[in-house]
Amino acid sequence: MEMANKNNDLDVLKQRIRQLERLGGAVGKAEGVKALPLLPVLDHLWPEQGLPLGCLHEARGDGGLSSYGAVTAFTAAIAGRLGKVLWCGKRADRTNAGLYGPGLAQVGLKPDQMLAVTASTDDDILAVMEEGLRHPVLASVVGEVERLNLTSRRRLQLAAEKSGVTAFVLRTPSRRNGLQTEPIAAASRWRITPAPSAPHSIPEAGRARWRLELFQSRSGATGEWMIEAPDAQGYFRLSSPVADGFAKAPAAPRQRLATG
Amino acid sequence: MDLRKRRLRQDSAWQPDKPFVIAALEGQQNTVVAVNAAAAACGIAPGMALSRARVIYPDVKAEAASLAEDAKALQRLAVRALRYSPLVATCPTDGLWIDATGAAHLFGGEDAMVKGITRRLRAIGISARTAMAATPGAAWAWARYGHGDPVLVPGAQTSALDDLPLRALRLAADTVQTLRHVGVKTIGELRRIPRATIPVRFGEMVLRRLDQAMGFMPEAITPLTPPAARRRSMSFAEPIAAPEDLQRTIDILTRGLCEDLDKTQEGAQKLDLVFVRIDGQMPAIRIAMARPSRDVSHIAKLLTEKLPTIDPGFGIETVTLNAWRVGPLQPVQLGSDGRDGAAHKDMGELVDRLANRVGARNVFKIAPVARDIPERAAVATDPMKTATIQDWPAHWPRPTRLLSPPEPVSVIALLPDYPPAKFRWRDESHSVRIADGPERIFGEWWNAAREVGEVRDYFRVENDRGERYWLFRKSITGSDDQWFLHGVFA
Repeated sequence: MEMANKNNDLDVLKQRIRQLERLGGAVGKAEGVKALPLLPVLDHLWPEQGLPLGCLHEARGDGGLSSYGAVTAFTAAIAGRLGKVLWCGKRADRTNAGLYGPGLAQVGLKPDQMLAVTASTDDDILAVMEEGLRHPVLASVVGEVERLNLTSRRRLQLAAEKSGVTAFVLRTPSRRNGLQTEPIAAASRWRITPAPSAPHSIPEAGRARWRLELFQSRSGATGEWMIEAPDAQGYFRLSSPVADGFAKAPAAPRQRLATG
Repeated sequence: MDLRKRRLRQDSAWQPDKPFVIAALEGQQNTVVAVNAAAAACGIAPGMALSRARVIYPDVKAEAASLAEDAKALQRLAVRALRYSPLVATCPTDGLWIDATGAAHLFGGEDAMVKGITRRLRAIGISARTAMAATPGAAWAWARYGHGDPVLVPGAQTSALDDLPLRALRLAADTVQTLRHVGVKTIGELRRIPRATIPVRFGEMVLRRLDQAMGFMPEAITPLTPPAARRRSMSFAEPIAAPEDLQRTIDILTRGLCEDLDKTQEGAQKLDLVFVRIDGQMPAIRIAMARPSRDVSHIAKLLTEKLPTIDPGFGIETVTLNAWRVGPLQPVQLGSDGRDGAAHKDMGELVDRLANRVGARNVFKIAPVARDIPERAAVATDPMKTATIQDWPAHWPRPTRLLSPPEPVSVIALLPDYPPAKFRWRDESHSVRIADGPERIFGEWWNAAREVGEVRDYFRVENDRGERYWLFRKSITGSDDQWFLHGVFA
């Protein structure tokens, strides 16, 4: 009896800590934080055993269009597994490369799941995202912006927390988007770069490989992995480490509370 | 009034100064039923055979009459005429009756009202003849055959009508013909025949029409039932200007309107919120929704979002909320938590909010289309529409981002038919490590003749850094091959 009580207290405390850490839409919600399992090696970085939902995540490429295509696929795969998604992009983009439905469907984001919005400025996109984050009809909201300041990050994060809808911000290729560490209001920040595919016995392109880098996260964990592009259902796989000799163990989570 | 002319004006090939006629099949021959001014000037008149009109002016443009469309247009016009009087009736096939009893003084008197109606109709492209008289029959006759002052005062009516031809009595053509044979050509001549003999000799209708025109016999017009106004309005003793007051007004009006809509089981789809300022300006907010709704908070939110665009000036004295497009909306079952279950899960509400913010054209769904050319296989459609086909074929890999239009690249290949070994795009050179292909896609020759000889060979290439691009070689019979970059892969 006492034991059960203690366990219960512990759960309440854990819940409280998560709320303090702003990881997920736990505020006032009975069911607690939800998470989406991505890959076993990644999942253990988070206390929820998966990518925390109901908060803000950020992804970017290396500034090239090809890596931005990978960023798109990465987000589409996750969003596709979550459910309905609102995707906001820019009307006339510097990159001149719009979303292509058939490609998204091949990583698991089906046309009926997605509502697309185009706006003309970063500010409009952020406003549309916030609007979408207030609607629990959606499972996630994706926005493509060039720049993002701390205030807008916070606003998105708060809106996501409130409704439990997950927000993804994709940083469009721009010369100015460096990799500098920023005061973080996002739960995680990712960088995705294409990597040469594994050598094949016949000269043909196999499944694409990416270097996936978690370069900043609220829990403090960072790391770098070699993964394969998602399959038709949006699931990732760790690329075989022998093929390239490149799978680095994730850095141990630093023992500190993140700021911001 | 000639409704057909209006329809024609919308035609892009419409040339007002060229003879133009509308023809309808009467018996075995095409007969001209309406003409424009240029045709009339050539001597073409309604009732003439179309072949004769062509003899007079060989290049005359003719179009078939459409009675159903004319009737619809007349109906729409009748609805607009409701601004003059609550009693408006259509008078097939080309007229309107407006019962101006007690209404004329609102428009500056009878003369001014008649002139105003003619002017307004001319402004929307309808050449009309208007007349006002004591009976519907007399008005009908005077509008079509009258001359001089369009307003017939009751005392002058009988003598004025006496000069008009018999056709002005709305009689059948053969009755008019019969009367002509006995020498009766005008209404006055008809009145001189002993009344008692008329029904026996020429039928019941002649006397009835005559009496209706003269006002000896009542004639009822069947007025249009005006569409029930879905509007709510509020006027203030003191003009208001504070945003909070306007906000409260929006809430009250919306609640009232939604109650009205609830009774008729309808939902508003397009709404206008008009603010009447004390200086007479009328700024307005217009919202549109993806589907009919009578959700108070939803509509109020959409209106409130646009409130900052309204300048209250020195104050607003009246606010009107008008639902000018409504649709049927059945009551919905409440969810078990007491909330509006279906509406809560509905995407429609989100679509409205977004469309209100960025414009309806910028909110869409990317839907599959059964087309071969990659850029045509996905189109932006109405977000609330379900697609005809569910998914794209999945057996060929497709990029996640597509360049539009495809960008030309310069390519080095070992042999003309080989995949590229090197390509240069946006001032950067890429050396190809692996290439997959070709996937051959033919131009859609069944849709466009110029695509007959067009062939695209798509290659999926990976450069030495692992970046993946979608290139294609475009070959058109009779010209050199060109290479393009069309997309980037996951």
